[in-house]
Amino acid sequence: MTEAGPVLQVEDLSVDYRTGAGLVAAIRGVSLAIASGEAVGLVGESGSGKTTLGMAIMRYLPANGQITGGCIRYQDTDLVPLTQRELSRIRGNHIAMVYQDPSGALNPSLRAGEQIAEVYRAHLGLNRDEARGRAEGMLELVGLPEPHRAYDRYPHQFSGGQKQRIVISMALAMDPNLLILDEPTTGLDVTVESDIMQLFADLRAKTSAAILFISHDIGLVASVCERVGVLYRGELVETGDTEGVFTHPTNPYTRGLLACRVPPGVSKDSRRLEPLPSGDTDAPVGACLFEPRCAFRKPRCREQHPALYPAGSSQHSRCFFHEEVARAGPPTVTASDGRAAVTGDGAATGDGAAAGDGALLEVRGLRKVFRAQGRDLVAVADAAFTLGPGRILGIVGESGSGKTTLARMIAGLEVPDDGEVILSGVDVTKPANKRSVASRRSLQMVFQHPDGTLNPSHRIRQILRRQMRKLDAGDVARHDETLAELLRAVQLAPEHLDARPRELSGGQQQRVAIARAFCTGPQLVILDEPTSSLDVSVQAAILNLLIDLQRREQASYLLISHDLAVVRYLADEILVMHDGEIVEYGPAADVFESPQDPYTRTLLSAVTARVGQAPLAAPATQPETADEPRMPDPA
Amino acid sequence: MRHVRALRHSPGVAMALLVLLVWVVIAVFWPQLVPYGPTEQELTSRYEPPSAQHWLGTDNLGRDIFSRILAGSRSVLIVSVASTTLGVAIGTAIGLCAAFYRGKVDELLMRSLDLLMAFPIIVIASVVLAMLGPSRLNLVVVIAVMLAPYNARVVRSAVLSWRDRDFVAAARMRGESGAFILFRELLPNIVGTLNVEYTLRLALSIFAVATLSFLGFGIQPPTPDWGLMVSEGRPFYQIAPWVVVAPAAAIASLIVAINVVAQKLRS
Amino acid sequence: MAGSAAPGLLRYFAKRLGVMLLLLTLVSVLIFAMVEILPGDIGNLILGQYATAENVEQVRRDLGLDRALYVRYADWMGGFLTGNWGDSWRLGTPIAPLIAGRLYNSLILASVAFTVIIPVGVAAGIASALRRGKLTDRVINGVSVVSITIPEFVSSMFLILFFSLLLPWFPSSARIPDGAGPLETLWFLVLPIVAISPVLVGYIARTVRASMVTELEADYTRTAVLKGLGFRTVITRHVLRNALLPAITVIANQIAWLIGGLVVIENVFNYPGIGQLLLQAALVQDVPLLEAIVLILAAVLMLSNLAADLLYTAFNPRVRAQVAGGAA
Repeated sequence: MTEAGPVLQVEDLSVDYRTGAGLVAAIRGVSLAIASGEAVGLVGESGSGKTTLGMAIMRYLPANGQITGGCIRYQDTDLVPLTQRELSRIRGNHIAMVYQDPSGALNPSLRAGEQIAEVYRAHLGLNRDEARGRAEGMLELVGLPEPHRAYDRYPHQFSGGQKQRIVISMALAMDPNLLILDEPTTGLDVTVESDIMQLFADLRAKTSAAILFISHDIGLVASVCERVGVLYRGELVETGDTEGVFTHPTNPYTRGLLACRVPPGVSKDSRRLEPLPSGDTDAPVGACLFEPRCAFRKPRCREQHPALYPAGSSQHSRCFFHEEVARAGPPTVTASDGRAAVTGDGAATGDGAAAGDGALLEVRGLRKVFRAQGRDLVAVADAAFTLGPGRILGIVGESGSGKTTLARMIAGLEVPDDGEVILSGVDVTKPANKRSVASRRSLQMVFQHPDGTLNPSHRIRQILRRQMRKLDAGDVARHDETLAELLRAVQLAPEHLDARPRELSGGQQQRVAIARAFCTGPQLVILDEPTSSLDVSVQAAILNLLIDLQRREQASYLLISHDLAVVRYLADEILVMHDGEIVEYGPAADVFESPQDPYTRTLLSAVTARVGQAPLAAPATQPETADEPRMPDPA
Repeated sequence: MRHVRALRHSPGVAMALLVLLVWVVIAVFWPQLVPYGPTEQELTSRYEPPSAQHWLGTDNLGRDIFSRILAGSRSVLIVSVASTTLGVAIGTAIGLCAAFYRGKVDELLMRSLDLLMAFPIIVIASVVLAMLGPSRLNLVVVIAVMLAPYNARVVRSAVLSWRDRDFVAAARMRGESGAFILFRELLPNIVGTLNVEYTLRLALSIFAVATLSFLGFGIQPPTPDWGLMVSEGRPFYQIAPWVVVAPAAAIASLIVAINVVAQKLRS
Repeated sequence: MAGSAAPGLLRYFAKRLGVMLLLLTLVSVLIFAMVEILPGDIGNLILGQYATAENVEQVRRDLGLDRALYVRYADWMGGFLTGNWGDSWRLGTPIAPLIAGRLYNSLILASVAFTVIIPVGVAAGIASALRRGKLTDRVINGVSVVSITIPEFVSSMFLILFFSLLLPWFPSSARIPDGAGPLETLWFLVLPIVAISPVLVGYIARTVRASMVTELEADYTRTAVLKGLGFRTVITRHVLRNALLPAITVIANQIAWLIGGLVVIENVFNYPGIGQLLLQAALVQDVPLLEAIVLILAAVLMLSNLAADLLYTAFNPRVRAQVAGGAA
């Protein structure tokens, strides 16, 4: 079917939410168009409105959301004034959606195949057998083994990746003309994610559907979409060809977003991350929304609100000074010498303190077995490694690898079934409250979720004070001084001492958690996914903070993460875990460049597969440190 | 303070609080407020309908119903508040223990509570009070014991939902004792739940006190008690319905008021 | 699929039945202990206040109350299991036929009540969930808050006032004359049923509403709608299935409430059911009768919980799979 016009045309769409604090604008005047066979990406952080946009197009906003302007044209029909009944003929049929969390997306009480079959029954009026036949065909198409048996299974009998395949088959059942994908692989393991993305690539070859790909992950979007739009606080701030936008950004926000990503194949010694300044103050009404955080701002930006101007080679940018942004080019590199000057005296660079000082942490034969429903689950089997002072050890693995359990045993939150944990020569293989005060002082932890890490009923001052008092950290009389210094170190204002956690943002709460961990001058800090729940722009700042603190305090880190780029950036040594076992252990560069274990190779290829295709901002100068590996060639 | 502001927005809740306040005031000051003694019999004016002299009429022994209603408020409130407080205290203690220690202790406690909760309050209370003899103290204890399991469940699940948060792990890494974690870290976060619980149990307690008195196992005559008054007035319902309607309405007003407040606290 | 799950389910059922019987035994011990360790003198109770000490002693020996506790317990349980439930102290007649007759009457009342309560409660819950936030919801919510909390005897009194005294539509006493046909029986039962229903209807409505709202806001409901399924299909095929499952457990819990309510209602309306019998026995401390009634009620409660548990397991695929021994 030849398309005269685009499959989807959104014109000047605005969506508001009614909240306790009045009307909040979630989408402001967004326009975009997608042609048949084209994939357009929508990139944004939390609060950008990207999910709202997807929901608005499907006309499925929550009760307090409403479309306050604009139109959404599917082919020639405006979807906004349609009734629910009219919409139900279009949904699932012409326009379909794939969601973020596959577990929730499937009805637990219905068989998997039936949830696909009912699409056929509803739209084509097929009977049970015909619908079943088609459904089984779809199950086969998305790569599920034994479609006939899979049909009769319930969702809980499938893995996360398989569930997502089922959701995809439901979406593609009627060969829709428009497919909306809202963070379809977020929350899935890296290897599963790469499988699903491969599935998408295969399926795209078979369909001419227009695709809207919504994600916070720039690399992912870049690997799939021809064109992309960047959303900031409900507005499109840059649109254009993917290549152009991501290699030669013409908008300060886009540029900042690209700059604060952890570059692949680069370690902390060669480049410092460039975080975006936090957006604490709001822009005045009628100004550019990004102005408070913008490195390129001028007085005009506070007075006028920019429109989308043609910029660069093929882009549009919502900035008065987009030429300047384009001229500035990709973000520059800070060489390692510059870093040494910034972090202050006495801080050793690169390899950390003298490595021959004897191990700070020694783990021998650690083992943990859980019993569930009459079966034994080996969470950690015979883990052994050592960590020297001032070194960062990264522990990577997918879900179920046992890395979290391992960390918790070292922290004293779980009791091992076998094995020893030796900290500075002292055996601490016991629960935390049975360890000596000295041991507790020297081993601290930073957790993943900022919103659970601080007691909501306590004030910040109380939280930090208690930490110091309980662990006898220095002179009580000097505690207030220490507190003030601590806050400065984590870049928080003294006023924050009197706040309660809910008054702080996620990034700020995590800073308090870091301050809490460091206030006793620990020698070893366990970091359990410290930035996974944070936006990319906040993550860069926190990672820089962690690096600075580590150098200043000469502490060692045990960094647990599923994000290989972050681990590559931070870690000196790496441990790879799979199904409870340590399958690879060695210096970071070695593990990443020449992995020995087949699982490690699978893991790395899954990451580089999509990273390699991403047109990232190439460094302006190649630093010549020995650490720097060459990036693997894209497949 | 937030709560006070919220109240202004719902007239229903404001009215309910007013009703409660009125009853509490009456319970405290009824000796000064009653026109007649609640046990004063005037056999010449039996079954009199409501009039200027007897605002709610008289009963079969010529006692002024209005005075009896006012006097009856005290026993209802005292018994129900006492039993609720005792029941919530016991229930909270059990819930905290079960949630904190988990494992066998938790299982044992919860199974026992399940068993206790499976039985209707009225049935068990009636039998026990029949055997032990009805007295105010027995009433308080029996109702408290029947209320405790509901409370324990709620407290337990509240604590469990907080127990796995990272700030508890951070406290454990500090080496805090179990008691500290329970009382200084967890408890402040479930105070809101406890408040709601208390009001809900109070409503249930009044329900139980009134019903048990009606059945004859609660407050004994000649003490004026609303449930008892309804039961005493039943035989004469046809000729003197006000004898029954007045206390019934009093019970209804108190219970509904408490529940309206409880539902509002919940949200 | 059902075939391979059946042996697993049967084993589960057998296990639960065994547990139930164990619990029932435990309960019987508790009942016995609770009732038998009592202050007050049985002898005086039966013979009156002016009985001589000798006669009281004689009565105690006649009733076997001078034997050790565990002997008495064994005797009682033994008798119970073999059908000999002893005689009522107050009436002097055998307990078993008495309880049987009364239980039957109460079952009639309860069954008719449930045929009203369950549909009304569930319908109200669904209606208020579908129109949440709107007037229907607020009205139903308000009514149910009130109806849940008002004691049955209070509402009974008002019902009698309005529909029996002021408007002589229904009888205020439910003593059904012998030989009354089903319609006439129903006429007698109207007020008691209306009196006992509000608490249960209100509770079921609120629980169903909460359950429905959770499912309506679930991700899979969004999936169903965005697949293009019609509103009715989404509700009946997806939402109700998951929302009503927990309602089964709730309804089973209501049986306990119902029994408590029966004690009051049967008293107020003079209905010859087991609730009234319990009350009368308790007021005079008729020990063997009391023990028997409470044990029977305990058995009824446990059986209904077991039935609800089995129904829930049968209808919940996840639990069913676990129980039947792993994935099919």
